[in-house]
Amino acid sequence: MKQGYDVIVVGSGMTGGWAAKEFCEKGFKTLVIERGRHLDHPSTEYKDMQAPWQLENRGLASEIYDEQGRYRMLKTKKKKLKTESIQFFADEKEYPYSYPEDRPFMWTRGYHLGGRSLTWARVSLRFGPKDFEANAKDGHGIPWPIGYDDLAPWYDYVETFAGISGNNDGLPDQPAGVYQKPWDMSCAEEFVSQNIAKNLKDRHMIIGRTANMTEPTEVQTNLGRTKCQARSYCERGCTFGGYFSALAATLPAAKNTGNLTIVTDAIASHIDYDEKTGKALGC
Amino acid sequence: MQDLKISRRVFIGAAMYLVSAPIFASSLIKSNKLLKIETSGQFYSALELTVLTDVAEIMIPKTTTPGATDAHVVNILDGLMLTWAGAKTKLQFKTTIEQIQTLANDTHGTSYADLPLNLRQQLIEELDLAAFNNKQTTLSANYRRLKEMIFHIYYTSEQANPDFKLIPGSYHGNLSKQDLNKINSGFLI
Repeated sequence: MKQGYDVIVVGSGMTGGWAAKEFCEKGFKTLVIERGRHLDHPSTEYKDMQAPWQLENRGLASEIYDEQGRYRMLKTKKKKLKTESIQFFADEKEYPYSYPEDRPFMWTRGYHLGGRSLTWARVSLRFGPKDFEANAKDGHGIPWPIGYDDLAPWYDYVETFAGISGNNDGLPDQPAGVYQKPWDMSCAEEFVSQNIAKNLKDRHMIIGRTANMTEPTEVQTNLGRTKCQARSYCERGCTFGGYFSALAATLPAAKNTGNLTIVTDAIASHIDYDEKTGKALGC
Repeated sequence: MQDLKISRRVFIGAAMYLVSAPIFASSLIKSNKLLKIETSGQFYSALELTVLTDVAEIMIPKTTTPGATDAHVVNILDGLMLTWAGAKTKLQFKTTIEQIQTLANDTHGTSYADLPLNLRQQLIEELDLAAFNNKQTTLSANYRRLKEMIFHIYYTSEQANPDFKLIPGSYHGNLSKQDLNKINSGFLI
């Protein structure tokens, strides 16, 4: 029997995960198609529960990759290929992409459930009011059709669910948000920050706003997430769900509704489009 | 009589350890305090392992903390040459050992393994200084790479990280010495 869905989401990363959660929670039968392999959360591919001496090759990925010209993108960005995280990055030799010769670009990909949300940098800053007005004031481009006030409630919504730690520093360019307890600065950072405040009135050194939880809410705890352990092991995957990812947060929330179906190892090759209605029919 | 009981878990654990870091048969030459490795490894010959073990121990000597030998640095390095190293690194590290042997012969007219400890230490210290003072030579590049790997293996060893906590539980960015002492005594702050 052919199974029908109200919604098909292509890709299960940061955006796909959120889309799946929102549709599922609103009662839509939702199919998520992911081109990469299936991963559980916590996954056996996570390496965050291994001590340094337990990591394959003491954490160093085989130099054979260098000799074969593989993972060049990752090598350019990270300098060293590591056995703790290489499994979460696509090898462009295996998955090549093309670009105009005069306009090359770096495209870092992760082909697995959750996509790049497993390896993002977790810095979570809001645009400020000025960001929506600056180009128009300077006479560049097209004025934004929305302003900060339109977006602010959505920032609140996302931050509340994702779990962002940070401080409301009272800076107009870094608007206040819905933050969990900020991380401590180190003594050196405190010293520098205090001296900047003393000597440079228009400069501010503040603690980062990051999707690493310090005080999980009941919603987050119910998804199996606990607070970040501050180990700098994020790229290994996090057994605690201490940082926000589709795999730890949005996809489990979508799954809890009973409306989610996930198909991995499947590529959406085309989208069926109805010209009369102007809507997609499927893919 | 000591009651020796080896559980299945201990046996398997020990066996796994042997796979990752085989212990080489060795003997200490008392006259020049050299740990002579008697058997070849998976990649290096017995003589190369002897030189490497000595150089690593000079770089990271046993003091109140474990040394390179305690951390099985060269045993691990020998295994990594097969599972991690590419052709360039294999050649580079073998060449470094040859270059150290040549230095010993050119400087003292004898092989590295026959030198007394103080001369071996002096040789490696001088090589170290020269390698970092002039980074343009092949010897410098080879030596610095080998040293980097020796320290990487040491710093990632269990022996060098006796206080390692996989799940620290909490984070404090700025602690006073008193607070740190409290935590080390088992108090939560």
